Amino acid sequence: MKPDVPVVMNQFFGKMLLELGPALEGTYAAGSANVMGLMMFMAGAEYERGAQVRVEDIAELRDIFGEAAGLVSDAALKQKLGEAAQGSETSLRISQLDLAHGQLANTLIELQDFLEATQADWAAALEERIYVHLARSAEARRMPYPDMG
Amino acid sequence: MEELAKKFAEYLQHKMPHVSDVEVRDLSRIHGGASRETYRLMGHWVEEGAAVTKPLILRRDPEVSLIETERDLEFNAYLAFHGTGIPVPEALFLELDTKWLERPFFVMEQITESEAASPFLPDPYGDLADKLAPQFFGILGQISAHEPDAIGLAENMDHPALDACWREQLDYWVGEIDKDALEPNPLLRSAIRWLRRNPPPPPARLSMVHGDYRTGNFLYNTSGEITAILDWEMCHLGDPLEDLAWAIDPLWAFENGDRPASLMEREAALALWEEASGFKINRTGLLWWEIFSAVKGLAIWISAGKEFQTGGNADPIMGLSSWYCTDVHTRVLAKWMPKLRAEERS
Repeated sequence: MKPDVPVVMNQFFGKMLLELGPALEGTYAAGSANVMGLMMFMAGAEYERGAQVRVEDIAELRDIFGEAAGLVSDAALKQKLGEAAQGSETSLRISQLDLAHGQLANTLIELQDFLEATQADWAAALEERIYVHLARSAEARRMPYPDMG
Repeated sequence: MEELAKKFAEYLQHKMPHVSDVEVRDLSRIHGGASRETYRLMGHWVEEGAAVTKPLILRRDPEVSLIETERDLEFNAYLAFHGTGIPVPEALFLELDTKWLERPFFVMEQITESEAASPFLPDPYGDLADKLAPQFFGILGQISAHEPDAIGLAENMDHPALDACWREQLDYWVGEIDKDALEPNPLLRSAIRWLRRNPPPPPARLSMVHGDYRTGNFLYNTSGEITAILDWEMCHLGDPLEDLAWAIDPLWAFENGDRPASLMEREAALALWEEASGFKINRTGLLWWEIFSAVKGLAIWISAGKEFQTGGNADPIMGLSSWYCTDVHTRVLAKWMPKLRAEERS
């Protein structure tokens, strides 16, 4: 599909910011046009990377759960982690990836809660690994912000 | 807009029966206020035979708000602080009857020849920053220093126990998160757990907390004078470090935590606040409130995202708040939480 979606969104962002916004009467309408343009810019970047960051996050979480399942003593959590580690995606639609990621993120919250109450060295190491994952994920999902002077 | 102007003119005439020929001109909505619809306008009337023109601000409740607050709280804050040395607009009318403009609203003086800067620009104040910086942190210190009961604003407010200020605020915002979250955020949840396990020391006494003191919520003129502190809708009694931590949050400084509010170096800002407030900053407490600020911010952005997603409020600023501000505050927590947890374990 050409033109590429990010190109379209970037062009529209420029039009909104430099042409449509200034042509609108009233600060509310002009401000809204600027915000919509900015979100188009962000949406363009998200279109390009969206599936990639989600698939990477999901894969990392499954790997973390695989490691954790071999370490935690709580039987119910161990089973949940094991099942989560074995899962796989049948769709690459963003909405489906978000759904899968949301389920895994809930399991991660449960795991972190457990680890925080566990004094063992392995728990500290696993907790650290989780924070490395979360920091990497947050950086990968960083919203691009255009240089607007 | 014409219909709103007509209805508002009728309201002004009702509130000022001693004047005649009331007209509302140049009514326009101001961009950015997602918790209230804000309009500027010129009120014209004849009073004792003389033509009067008064620039006014109309703040009307939206159908769905970014933050759910009582409009009388903000109105009363303007009333209480007017004339105390804290620059605020004069509050004029508070109207709860929906027959006039369909929703409750209040009216206040319009501060002219002043502007508010966007917090989402790298250098919003340019050459005026050096002049605005001591005012910004000094005024915040003065707000903290005020005896809340002495100005009459605290009468109808909750007076939390000193050692419960943190819990009251945390419980409220976690409640908002639990109510509105559309997706889980592990960093946010780990921060909440850390906050509960590591409460801050209590403040020396209760202060008036503005609740949203930051870049973008004050007006200034071209001479570099702060002319009004706005948006008091989240004001409450509590720990003054709550306001300080929110004011220095990286979100309001284009993520530059070393130059809070995009105005001045961090330590200098903290020293200014200490001098103006008379309080000594407890650094452990300030750190707690800084982490809390990210949690509170995320609560607000989560609610904004939910309203936009579910069609409650499609104002683009709600969508941007959810995308961009959530991203910034999540990364703030990504930076802090590994350190805080490592310290906790050691």
